[in-house]
Amino acid sequence: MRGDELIDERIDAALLSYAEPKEMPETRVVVARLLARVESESQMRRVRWWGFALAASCLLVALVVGSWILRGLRVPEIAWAPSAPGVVSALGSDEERVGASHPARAKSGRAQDGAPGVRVASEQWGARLPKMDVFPTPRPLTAEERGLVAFASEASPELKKQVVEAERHMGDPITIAELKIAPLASGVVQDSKDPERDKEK
Amino acid sequence: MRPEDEAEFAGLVERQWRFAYRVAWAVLRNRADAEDAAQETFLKIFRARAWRGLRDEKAFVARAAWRASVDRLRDSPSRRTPLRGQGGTDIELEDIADRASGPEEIAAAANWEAVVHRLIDSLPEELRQPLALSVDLNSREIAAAMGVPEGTVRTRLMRARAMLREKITAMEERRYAGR
Repeated sequence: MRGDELIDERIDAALLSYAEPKEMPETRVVVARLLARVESESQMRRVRWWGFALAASCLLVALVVGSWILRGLRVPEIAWAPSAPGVVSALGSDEERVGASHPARAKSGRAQDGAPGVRVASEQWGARLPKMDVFPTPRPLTAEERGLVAFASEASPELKKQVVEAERHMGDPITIAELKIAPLASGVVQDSKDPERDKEK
Repeated sequence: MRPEDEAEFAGLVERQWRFAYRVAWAVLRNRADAEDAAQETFLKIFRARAWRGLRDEKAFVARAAWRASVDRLRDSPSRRTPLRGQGGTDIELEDIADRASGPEEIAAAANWEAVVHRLIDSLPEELRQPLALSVDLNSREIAAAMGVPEGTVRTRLMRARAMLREKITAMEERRYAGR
Protein backbone atom coordinates (compact mmCIF):
# COMPACT_ATOMS: atom_id res chain seq x y z
CA MET A 1 0.00 0.00 0.00
CA ARG A 2 2.88 2.31 0.80
CA GLY A 3 4.31 1.57 -2.60
CA ASP A 4 1.06 2.67 -4.34
CA GLU A 5 1.06 5.92 -2.44
CA LEU A 6 4.63 6.50 -3.43
CA ILE A 7 3.80 5.86 -7.03
CA ASP A 8 0.80 8.22 -6.85
CA GLU A 9 3.01 10.91 -5.39
CA ARG A 10 5.45 10.43 -8.21
CA ILE A 11 2.64 10.58 -10.75
CA ASP A 12 1.28 13.78 -9.23
CA ALA A 13 4.69 15.38 -9.21
CA ALA A 14 5.30 14.34 -12.78
CA LEU A 15 1.86 15.59 -13.81
CA LEU A 16 2.60 19.04 -12.39
CA SER A 17 5.71 19.35 -14.49
CA TYR A 18 3.95 17.69 -17.45
CA ALA A 19 1.22 20.32 -17.51
CA GLU A 20 3.61 23.19 -17.01
CA PRO A 21 4.69 24.63 -20.37
CA LYS A 22 8.42 24.98 -20.71
CA GLU A 23 8.16 28.41 -22.35
CA MET A 24 5.25 30.73 -22.46
CA PRO A 25 4.95 33.97 -24.41
CA GLU A 26 4.66 37.07 -22.28
CA THR A 27 1.11 38.11 -21.62
CA ARG A 28 1.57 41.75 -22.65
CA VAL A 29 3.16 40.66 -25.93
CA VAL A 30 0.27 38.33 -26.60
CA VAL A 31 -2.25 41.02 -25.71
CA ALA A 32 -0.61 43.48 -28.09
CA ARG A 33 -0.47 40.84 -30.84
CA LEU A 34 -4.10 39.86 -30.34
CA LEU A 35 -5.29 43.45 -30.35
CA ALA A 36 -3.34 44.08 -33.55
CA ARG A 37 -4.97 41.04 -35.16
CA VAL A 38 -8.38 42.10 -33.95
CA GLU A 39 -7.83 45.58 -35.36
CA SER A 40 -6.65 44.25 -38.73
CA GLU A 41 -9.66 41.92 -38.86
CA SER A 42 -11.94 44.85 -38.10
CA GLN A 43 -10.33 46.85 -40.90
CA MET A 44 -10.68 43.93 -43.29
CA ARG A 45 -14.31 43.62 -42.30
CA ARG A 46 -14.81 47.34 -42.91
CA VAL A 47 -13.10 47.10 -46.31
CA ARG A 48 -15.26 44.13 -47.23
CA TRP A 49 -18.38 45.98 -46.08
CA TRP A 50 -17.50 49.07 -48.10
CA GLY A 51 -16.74 46.95 -51.13
CA PHE A 52 -20.06 45.22 -50.79
CA ALA A 53 -21.85 48.54 -50.32
CA LEU A 54 -20.12 50.01 -53.37
CA ALA A 55 -20.98 46.99 -55.50
CA ALA A 56 -24.57 47.05 -54.29
CA SER A 57 -24.97 50.76 -55.01
CA CYS A 58 -23.41 50.33 -58.49
CA LEU A 59 -25.85 47.53 -59.17
CA LEU A 60 -28.72 49.69 -57.96
CA VAL A 61 -27.67 52.61 -60.16
CA ALA A 62 -27.32 50.26 -63.13
CA LEU A 63 -30.80 48.90 -62.49
CA VAL A 64 -32.29 52.39 -62.23
CA VAL A 65 -30.54 53.60 -65.39
CA GLY A 66 -31.51 50.43 -67.24
CA SER A 67 -35.14 50.71 -66.28
CA TRP A 68 -35.13 54.40 -67.20
CA ILE A 69 -33.69 53.63 -70.63
CA LEU A 70 -36.17 50.82 -71.19
CA ARG A 71 -39.03 53.09 -70.18
CA GLY A 72 -37.79 55.77 -72.57
CA LEU A 73 -37.77 53.32 -75.46
CA ARG A 74 -41.36 52.25 -74.85
CA VAL A 75 -43.77 53.47 -77.57
CA PRO A 76 -46.45 55.83 -76.29
CA GLU A 77 -49.94 54.61 -77.08
CA ILE A 78 -51.95 57.49 -78.59
CA ALA A 79 -55.50 56.59 -79.43
CA TRP A 80 -56.49 59.97 -80.83
CA ALA A 81 -54.49 62.98 -81.86
CA PRO A 82 -56.31 66.31 -82.05
CA SER A 83 -56.02 68.22 -85.32
CA ALA A 84 -56.92 71.59 -83.98
CA PRO A 85 -55.12 74.53 -85.60
CA GLY A 86 -51.82 75.20 -83.95
CA VAL A 87 -51.42 71.69 -82.51
CA VAL A 88 -48.44 69.84 -83.83
CA SER A 89 -48.44 66.08 -83.34
CA ALA A 90 -45.27 64.30 -82.32
CA LEU A 91 -46.14 61.54 -84.73
CA GLY A 92 -46.01 63.80 -87.78
CA SER A 93 -48.51 63.40 -90.61
CA ASP A 94 -52.02 62.06 -90.28
CA GLU A 95 -51.15 58.93 -92.14
CA GLU A 96 -48.29 58.10 -89.78
CA ARG A 97 -50.42 59.01 -86.81
CA VAL A 98 -53.16 56.68 -87.93
CA GLY A 99 -50.57 54.00 -88.45
CA ALA A 100 -49.40 54.36 -84.88
CA SER A 101 -52.74 54.76 -83.22
CA HIS A 102 -55.22 52.72 -85.20
CA PRO A 103 -55.24 49.23 -83.73
CA ALA A 104 -56.19 47.44 -86.92
CA ARG A 105 -53.65 49.35 -88.97
CA ALA A 106 -50.94 48.87 -86.42
CA LYS A 107 -51.75 45.19 -86.09
CA SER A 108 -51.63 44.59 -89.82
CA GLY A 109 -48.46 46.63 -90.05
CA ARG A 110 -46.78 44.52 -87.40
CA ALA A 111 -47.79 41.42 -89.22
CA GLN A 112 -46.45 42.72 -92.54
CA ASP A 113 -43.33 44.72 -92.00
CA GLY A 114 -42.58 44.83 -88.36
CA ALA A 115 -44.87 47.42 -86.82
CA PRO A 116 -44.56 50.54 -88.96
CA GLY A 117 -46.57 52.55 -86.48
CA VAL A 118 -44.13 51.68 -83.78
CA ARG A 119 -41.22 52.45 -86.05
CA VAL A 120 -42.58 55.88 -86.94
CA ALA A 121 -43.16 56.74 -83.33
CA SER A 122 -39.72 55.52 -82.32
CA GLU A 123 -37.96 57.48 -85.04
CA GLN A 124 -39.71 60.70 -84.17
CA TRP A 125 -39.46 60.21 -80.44
CA GLY A 126 -36.18 62.06 -80.28
CA ALA A 127 -37.51 64.95 -82.45
CA ARG A 128 -40.45 65.68 -80.18
CA LEU A 129 -41.29 69.37 -79.95
CA PRO A 130 -40.96 71.12 -76.64
CA LYS A 131 -44.04 71.16 -74.49
CA MET A 132 -45.61 74.64 -74.35
CA ASP A 133 -47.45 76.28 -71.50
CA VAL A 134 -50.57 77.10 -73.58
CA PHE A 135 -52.53 74.40 -75.36
CA PRO A 136 -53.04 74.53 -78.26
CA THR A 137 -49.83 76.33 -79.02
CA PRO A 138 -50.62 79.81 -80.46
CA ARG A 139 -49.23 80.79 -83.82
CA PRO A 140 -49.55 83.99 -85.99
CA LEU A 141 -52.65 84.28 -88.24
CA THR A 142 -52.32 83.79 -91.94
CA ALA A 143 -53.28 86.52 -94.41
CA GLU A 144 -56.57 84.79 -95.20
CA GLU A 145 -57.42 84.47 -91.52
CA ARG A 146 -56.60 88.16 -90.97
CA GLY A 147 -58.86 89.13 -93.89
CA LEU A 148 -61.66 87.00 -92.50
CA VAL A 149 -61.31 88.66 -89.08
CA ALA A 150 -61.39 92.13 -90.68
CA PHE A 151 -64.45 91.24 -92.72
CA ALA A 152 -66.27 89.87 -89.69
CA SER A 153 -65.58 92.99 -87.66
CA GLU A 154 -66.03 95.71 -90.26
CA ALA A 155 -68.58 94.54 -92.85
CA SER A 156 -72.21 95.66 -92.61
CA PRO A 157 -74.92 93.17 -91.67
CA GLU A 158 -76.41 93.34 -95.19
CA LEU A 159 -73.11 92.53 -96.75
CA LYS A 160 -72.58 89.67 -94.35
CA LYS A 161 -76.04 88.37 -95.18
CA GLN A 162 -75.26 88.59 -98.90
CA VAL A 163 -72.03 86.71 -98.36
CA VAL A 164 -73.79 84.07 -96.33
CA GLU A 165 -76.46 83.79 -98.99
CA ALA A 166 -73.87 83.56 -101.70
CA GLU A 167 -71.96 80.93 -99.83
CA ARG A 168 -75.14 78.97 -99.32
CA HIS A 169 -75.63 78.77 -103.09
CA MET A 170 -71.97 78.21 -103.84
CA GLY A 171 -72.48 74.52 -104.04
CA ASP A 172 -75.45 74.75 -106.40
CA PRO A 173 -74.92 73.52 -109.94
CA ILE A 174 -74.24 76.23 -112.46
CA THR A 175 -77.05 76.66 -114.96
CA ILE A 176 -76.46 78.44 -118.23
CA ALA A 177 -79.50 79.86 -120.01
CA GLU A 178 -80.08 78.51 -123.44
CA LEU A 179 -78.93 80.81 -126.23
CA LYS A 180 -81.63 81.77 -128.73
CA ILE A 181 -80.32 83.20 -132.01
CA ALA A 182 -82.84 84.03 -134.63
CA PRO A 183 -81.88 83.02 -138.18
CA LEU A 184 -81.01 85.78 -140.64
CA ALA A 185 -83.61 86.43 -143.41
CA SER A 186 -81.99 86.62 -146.92
CA GLY A 187 -82.64 89.84 -149.06
CA VAL A 188 -84.48 91.58 -146.40
CA VAL A 189 -82.88 94.48 -144.79
CA GLN A 190 -83.94 94.77 -141.31
CA ASP A 191 -84.89 98.10 -139.96
CA SER A 192 -82.28 99.54 -137.88
CA LYS A 193 -83.00 101.67 -134.96
CA ASP A 194 -79.73 103.50 -135.41
CA PRO A 195 -80.37 106.58 -137.65
CA GLU A 196 -76.70 107.37 -138.00
CA ARG A 197 -76.01 104.02 -139.52
CA ASP A 198 -78.91 104.37 -141.84
CA LYS A 199 -77.57 107.68 -143.10
CA GLU A 200 -74.19 106.24 -143.94
CA LYS A 201 -75.86 103.53 -145.92
CA MET B 1 -13.47 48.66 -32.06
CA ARG B 2 -14.52 50.95 -29.25
CA PRO B 3 -11.92 51.80 -26.58
CA GLU B 4 -14.03 50.31 -23.79
CA ASP B 5 -14.43 47.06 -25.74
CA GLU B 6 -10.72 46.98 -26.39
CA ALA B 7 -9.96 47.48 -22.69
CA GLU B 8 -12.46 44.81 -21.70
CA PHE B 9 -11.11 42.32 -24.20
CA ALA B 10 -7.52 43.08 -23.23
CA GLY B 11 -8.47 42.47 -19.60
CA LEU B 12 -9.91 39.07 -20.45
CA VAL B 13 -6.76 38.11 -22.38
CA GLU B 14 -4.54 39.23 -19.51
CA ARG B 15 -6.57 37.24 -16.99
CA GLN B 16 -6.99 34.04 -18.96
CA TRP B 17 -4.08 33.87 -21.40
CA ARG B 18 -1.90 31.62 -19.26
CA PHE B 19 -4.78 29.30 -18.53
CA ALA B 20 -5.79 29.04 -22.20
CA TYR B 21 -2.20 28.38 -23.14
CA ARG B 22 -1.90 25.62 -20.53
CA VAL B 23 -5.03 23.91 -21.82
CA ALA B 24 -3.72 24.11 -25.38
CA TRP B 25 -0.34 22.88 -24.23
CA ALA B 26 -1.94 19.92 -22.44
CA VAL B 27 -3.60 18.85 -25.68
CA LEU B 28 -0.98 19.74 -28.27
CA ARG B 29 2.33 19.47 -26.36
CA ASN B 30 3.95 21.87 -28.80
CA ARG B 31 4.87 25.47 -28.07
CA ALA B 32 4.01 27.00 -31.46
CA ASP B 33 0.79 25.04 -31.84
CA ALA B 34 -0.29 25.81 -28.31
CA GLU B 35 0.36 29.51 -28.84
CA ASP B 36 -1.60 29.51 -32.10
CA ALA B 37 -4.47 27.59 -30.53
CA ALA B 38 -4.61 29.92 -27.53
CA GLN B 39 -4.63 32.97 -29.80
CA GLU B 40 -7.31 31.41 -31.94
CA THR B 41 -9.32 30.84 -28.77
CA PHE B 42 -9.39 34.53 -27.95
CA LEU B 43 -9.99 35.57 -31.54
CA LYS B 44 -13.02 33.28 -31.66
CA ILE B 45 -14.26 34.74 -28.41
CA PHE B 46 -13.79 38.24 -29.83
CA ARG B 47 -15.49 37.46 -33.14
CA ALA B 48 -18.45 35.97 -31.32
CA ARG B 49 -18.57 39.03 -29.01
CA ALA B 50 -18.79 36.46 -26.23
CA TRP B 51 -16.54 38.04 -23.63
CA ARG B 52 -19.24 40.24 -22.14
CA GLY B 53 -21.25 38.99 -19.21
CA LEU B 54 -19.57 35.62 -18.82
CA ARG B 55 -20.85 33.76 -15.80
CA ASP B 56 -17.93 31.33 -15.57
CA GLU B 57 -15.08 32.89 -17.46
CA LYS B 58 -12.59 30.14 -16.70
CA ALA B 59 -14.86 27.32 -17.82
CA PHE B 60 -15.78 29.22 -20.98
CA VAL B 61 -12.15 29.84 -21.89
CA ALA B 62 -11.27 26.22 -21.07
CA ARG B 63 -13.99 24.98 -23.38
CA ALA B 64 -12.97 27.35 -26.20
CA ALA B 65 -9.26 26.55 -25.81
CA TRP B 66 -9.82 22.81 -25.72
CA ARG B 67 -12.06 23.05 -28.81
CA ALA B 68 -9.48 25.12 -30.71
CA SER B 69 -6.69 22.72 -29.73
CA VAL B 70 -8.62 19.61 -30.72
CA ASP B 71 -9.56 21.23 -34.05
CA ARG B 72 -5.90 21.97 -34.67
CA LEU B 73 -5.00 18.41 -33.71
CA ARG B 74 -7.69 17.05 -36.02
CA ASP B 75 -6.59 19.22 -38.94
CA SER B 76 -3.12 17.76 -38.69
CA PRO B 77 -2.98 14.55 -36.67
CA SER B 78 0.77 14.36 -37.14
CA ARG B 79 1.26 17.43 -34.95
CA ARG B 80 1.29 15.30 -31.86
CA THR B 81 2.33 11.71 -32.25
CA PRO B 82 2.09 9.87 -28.97
CA LEU B 83 4.83 7.44 -28.24
CA ARG B 84 3.86 3.98 -29.32
CA GLY B 85 5.60 0.66 -28.83
CA GLN B 86 6.25 -1.97 -31.41
CA GLY B 87 3.19 -2.91 -33.42
CA GLY B 88 1.20 0.09 -32.26
CA THR B 89 0.92 -1.04 -28.63
CA ASP B 90 1.43 1.33 -25.78
CA ILE B 91 4.96 2.23 -24.90
CA GLU B 92 6.84 -0.32 -22.90
CA LEU B 93 9.73 0.01 -20.57
CA GLU B 94 12.06 -1.25 -23.27
CA ASP B 95 11.07 1.65 -25.54
CA ILE B 96 12.04 4.11 -22.86
CA ALA B 97 15.18 2.23 -22.11
CA ASP B 98 16.16 2.21 -25.76
CA ARG B 99 15.84 5.98 -25.96
CA ALA B 100 17.73 6.57 -22.70
CA SER B 101 20.97 5.14 -21.63
CA GLY B 102 19.02 2.44 -19.79
CA PRO B 103 16.54 2.02 -16.97
CA GLU B 104 19.27 1.89 -14.41
CA GLU B 105 20.73 5.15 -15.53
CA ILE B 106 17.31 6.82 -15.51
CA ALA B 107 16.60 5.48 -12.04
CA ALA B 108 20.03 6.41 -10.83
CA ALA B 109 19.55 9.95 -12.04
CA ALA B 110 16.16 10.00 -10.33
CA ASN B 111 14.74 11.17 -13.60
CA TRP B 112 11.42 9.70 -12.83
CA GLU B 113 9.58 12.70 -14.15
CA ALA B 114 10.92 12.18 -17.62
CA VAL B 115 9.93 8.54 -17.50
CA VAL B 116 6.42 9.34 -16.29
CA HIS B 117 6.08 12.04 -18.94
CA ARG B 118 6.82 9.50 -21.60
CA LEU B 119 4.38 7.10 -20.02
CA ILE B 120 1.70 9.77 -19.96
CA ASP B 121 2.41 10.55 -23.61
CA SER B 122 1.90 6.89 -24.39
CA LEU B 123 -1.63 6.91 -22.99
CA PRO B 124 -4.59 7.00 -25.38
CA GLU B 125 -5.75 10.57 -26.08
CA GLU B 126 -9.09 10.04 -24.38
CA LEU B 127 -7.20 9.25 -21.16
CA ARG B 128 -4.22 11.53 -21.56
CA GLN B 129 -6.16 14.75 -22.13
CA PRO B 130 -8.30 14.62 -18.96
CA LEU B 131 -5.25 13.60 -16.98
CA ALA B 132 -3.24 16.55 -18.27
CA LEU B 133 -6.15 18.93 -17.72
CA SER B 134 -6.73 17.65 -14.18
CA VAL B 135 -3.80 19.75 -12.98
CA ASP B 136 -5.66 23.01 -13.70
CA LEU B 137 -9.31 21.92 -13.72
CA ASN B 138 -11.55 19.77 -11.57
CA SER B 139 -13.66 16.96 -12.98
CA ARG B 140 -16.69 19.17 -13.56
CA GLU B 141 -14.68 21.76 -15.47
CA ILE B 142 -12.95 19.08 -17.53
CA ALA B 143 -16.34 17.59 -18.34
CA ALA B 144 -17.64 20.98 -19.42
CA ALA B 145 -14.57 21.67 -21.54
CA MET B 146 -14.56 18.28 -23.26
CA GLY B 147 -18.32 18.06 -23.57
CA VAL B 148 -18.60 14.70 -21.80
CA PRO B 149 -20.36 13.73 -18.57
CA GLU B 150 -18.50 14.29 -15.35
CA GLY B 151 -18.71 10.58 -14.49
CA THR B 152 -16.93 9.75 -17.72
CA VAL B 153 -14.14 12.13 -16.83
CA ARG B 154 -13.70 10.54 -13.43
CA THR B 155 -13.65 7.07 -14.95
CA ARG B 156 -11.06 8.13 -17.48
CA LEU B 157 -8.91 9.73 -14.82
CA MET B 158 -9.00 6.54 -12.74
CA ARG B 159 -8.18 4.41 -15.75
CA ALA B 160 -5.29 6.68 -16.70
CA ARG B 161 -3.84 6.59 -13.23
CA ALA B 162 -4.27 2.83 -13.00
CA MET B 163 -2.47 2.33 -16.29
CA LEU B 164 0.37 4.58 -15.21
CA ARG B 165 0.63 2.83 -11.86
CA GLU B 166 0.71 -0.54 -13.56
CA LYS B 167 3.43 0.53 -15.98
CA ILE B 168 5.55 2.10 -13.28
CA THR B 169 5.21 -0.98 -11.09
CA ALA B 170 6.20 -3.23 -13.93
CA MET B 171 9.12 -0.98 -14.73
CA GLU B 172 10.34 -1.06 -11.14
CA GLU B 173 9.97 -4.82 -10.88
CA ARG B 174 12.12 -5.25 -13.96
CA ARG B 175 14.61 -2.82 -12.61
CA TYR B 176 14.99 -4.72 -9.36
CA ALA B 177 14.96 -8.05 -11.18
CA GLY B 178 17.85 -6.87 -13.31
CA ARG B 179 20.06 -6.17 -10.31
